[in-house]
Amino acid sequence: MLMPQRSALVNTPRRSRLGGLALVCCLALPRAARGEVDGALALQTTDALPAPASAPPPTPALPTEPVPEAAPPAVDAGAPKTPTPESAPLTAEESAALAALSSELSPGPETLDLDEPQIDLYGFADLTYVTQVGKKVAFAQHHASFMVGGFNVYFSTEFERRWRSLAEVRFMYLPNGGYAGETQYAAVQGSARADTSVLDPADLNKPVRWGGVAIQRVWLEYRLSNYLTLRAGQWLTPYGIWNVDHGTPTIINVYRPYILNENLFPERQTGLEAYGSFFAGDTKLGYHLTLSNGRGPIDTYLDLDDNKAVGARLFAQNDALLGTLTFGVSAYRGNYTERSGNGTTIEDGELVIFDPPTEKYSELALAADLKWEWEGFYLQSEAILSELRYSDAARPSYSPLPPAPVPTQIADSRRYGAYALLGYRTRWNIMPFVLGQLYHNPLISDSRELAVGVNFRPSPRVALKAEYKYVFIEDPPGLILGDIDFLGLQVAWSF
Amino acid sequence: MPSRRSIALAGLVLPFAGLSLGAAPLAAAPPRQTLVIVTQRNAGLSEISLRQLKHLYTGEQVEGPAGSALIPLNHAPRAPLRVAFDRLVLNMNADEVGRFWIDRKIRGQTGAPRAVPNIELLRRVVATLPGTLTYLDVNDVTPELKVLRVDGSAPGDPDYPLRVE
Repeated sequence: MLMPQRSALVNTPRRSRLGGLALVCCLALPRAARGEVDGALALQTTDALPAPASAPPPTPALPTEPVPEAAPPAVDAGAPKTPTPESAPLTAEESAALAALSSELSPGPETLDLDEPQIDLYGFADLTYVTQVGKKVAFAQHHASFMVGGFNVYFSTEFERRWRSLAEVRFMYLPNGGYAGETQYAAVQGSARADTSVLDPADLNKPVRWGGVAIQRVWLEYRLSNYLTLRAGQWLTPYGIWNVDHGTPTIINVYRPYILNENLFPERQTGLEAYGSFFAGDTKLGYHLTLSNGRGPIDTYLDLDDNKAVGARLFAQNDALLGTLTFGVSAYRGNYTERSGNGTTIEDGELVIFDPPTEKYSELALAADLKWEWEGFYLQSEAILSELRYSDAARPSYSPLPPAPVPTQIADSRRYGAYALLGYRTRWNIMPFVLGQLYHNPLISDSRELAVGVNFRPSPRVALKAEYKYVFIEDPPGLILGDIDFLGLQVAWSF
Repeated sequence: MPSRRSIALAGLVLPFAGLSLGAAPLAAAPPRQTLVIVTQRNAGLSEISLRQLKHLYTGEQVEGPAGSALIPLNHAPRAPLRVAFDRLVLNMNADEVGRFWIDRKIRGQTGAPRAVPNIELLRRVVATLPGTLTYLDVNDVTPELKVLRVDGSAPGDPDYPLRVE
């Protein structure tokens, strides 16, 4: 039987001078370094002092090994005893709670309540204010604006502790105000701004603008073990840091870096994902493997080619050396195919497949990411490269920046970029940060950017952010775009 | 003559020196608190490491001797015992823990271990349900619970890691 040492039953006052010296050291060090929030560190410091005769605290006798059911708690007969509490009788309310908890936590399908699965409903939202600061440039938003950008709601359900489902939807004011037909690289001249106003008969025909819902993800997963979980549905592509952090309360700054905003990897995919992890010593090693429709105009419910996209992510995380260090690499390979027709025609009286692609390219994306958290310091960086190779038979036109001739056929491209964000979270939950990024896009322009800002989380559920950005834009031949600087303020909250 | 610089330095240091080396006696140190990890009395588990505890209470799955997943149970957020446990095991304060779980849920990962704010209920659940474990103040252990060694140390050992001021 293992018995706790109970030689000391009285707390001994510290030696005041040593205690005072420790206080000086604490005051002279940053809070994070002196263990003010780290009881373990404080404890080690204390224990490093010459041990007084009564170092261990009073500890009641405890059963540290299995004992017969009816046996009383083990007691060291040679030491003074601390009374062990007896279990108090439960009230009716507590008994009901115990039964509910037992049902919920018990392993095995027999406890599954098929009629009333529990749904965890939560989400986040944000409000952003953005304004250009210096000389206003033409290609960016001209007017200072408030914007409700994200209003995402999650529906999470866990069945039997191995099955888990998650659905996340984003409620939007769009399509009101959007320009139909516009794409990332092609403005549609003369297109009208969408107006979704309709008369609401439930409110005396008062005009109301309806908005849309964007499904962010919806999946079901089955956890076999830490080594393997299988997921089916639509999921966020598991690459890098930002795309997984996903929500504005979690993300430190206001704006996504270009390499994410331009979707060098698909932000989400529809298909299957397998992931898992294991520990090799102090290091956690993990993987994600994906099989999906890949990118496409309607990839969430229809693949317009037979080539499934594949992807992988490998990562290593160590929290024993210096803080928590995570390094990962990701890859994605897939085809994009657009077809405009209904896929059939009649030849010689026979209905046959006729489905030529109007746009088709193969895509390879590679990424690496690094995250380091140590005390209050925070470093996050990602680099991504994306190659698009078009099929000559299905190479679309696009509208390059003037004064280039328009339209022209889009060229194969290699886009790449990187960003690094460095911050320090102070004791007041304020994190000043700096972000630098580079982006090369042969279809538009190269840009470099420097941003400084502050992220303040007055509550774990609320993030207040301010970010000033200066973007150095490399003007394309014959066109002056001009650098741009602007200020973004954001409040993001989870609920 | 002391330089301006040395005077300025003395101005910075002296207030701290007064705190640390002054003749006024310091108040007696507060009593230490010992946290213990408990599970069902007849469970096969008798020991756990700090690393496993950290994994368990940060959303990782840890398997017990029988191969089934352990089920960690928490105290209510910001309860003194939870704050102490989070500092000792997770190296986080209450705000950091709050951010950690909110951020995880927004990423789509699992949420925090189930919190049972009623200590009597918590003890009963752990005593009743195989695979569950939680932490208690050493003085709150009841006979139907078994205390686990942590990193090979029992709660009374000098190097027991779950002891806090």
